[in-house]
Amino acid sequence: MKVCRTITCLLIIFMIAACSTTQSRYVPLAGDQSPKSDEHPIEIYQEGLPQRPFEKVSRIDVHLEKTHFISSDFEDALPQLEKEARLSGADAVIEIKERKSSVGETKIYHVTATGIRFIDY
Amino acid sequence: MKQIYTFATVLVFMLATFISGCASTPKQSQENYNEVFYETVEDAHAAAVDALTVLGFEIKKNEDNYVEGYRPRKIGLFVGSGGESVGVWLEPIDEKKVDVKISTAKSFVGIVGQKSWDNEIIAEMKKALL
Repeated sequence: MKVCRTITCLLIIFMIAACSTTQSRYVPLAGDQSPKSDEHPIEIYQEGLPQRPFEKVSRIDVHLEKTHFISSDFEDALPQLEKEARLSGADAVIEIKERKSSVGETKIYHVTATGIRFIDY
Repeated sequence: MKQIYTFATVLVFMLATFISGCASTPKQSQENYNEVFYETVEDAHAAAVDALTVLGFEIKKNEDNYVEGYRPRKIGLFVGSGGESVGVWLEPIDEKKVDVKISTAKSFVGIVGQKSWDNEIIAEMKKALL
């Protein structure tokens, strides 16, 4: 009986773990930049542009898919977006484009953004 | 006896998972979906990589004239998704003209939740080249 319960629990954990995927990447736009530290704050500009001078350093993509009809939104993608921004040497993220679609019960959320580096830093 | 049935179920489930991990390989043929882009092969290649990324493919091969991607599998309540592999062949016709051929390969297991991505890839490539 105990074995059955353990196996059932393991199967449930496996099913939940296998029902979502997260993919992300960045493409450098201005040569390789030094990555920022994990604590470096990333400014998010969902609309408009910063007033300070900047240069574009990366194109960032974050892709989330979940089954069981569960949808994702910007808040779900934000940690990965910030991580890729830091890796690409960006101080902030602009030009955020969101796309939502679905395949059967799989809900797809993709966000594309541009990483920028402030040049007066 | 009950425990044997439980173990058998788990074994079948695990076997199905391992089998479902195997993907088919896209093949180039005359019947592949194709479209001519008036771009350099480098620009068309970058657009193909962008298109696959936006559509949730992991890039498995990235050569000058060929890009291959795989959509990771997801287990669903009724029907999961993913498991498709796509190949994008880029054949330069001249300096600013490329013939793009696309093929989606579906795998045997999970075919119900799979679809052809040819049209979406072409549409995303066009967006990336705007």
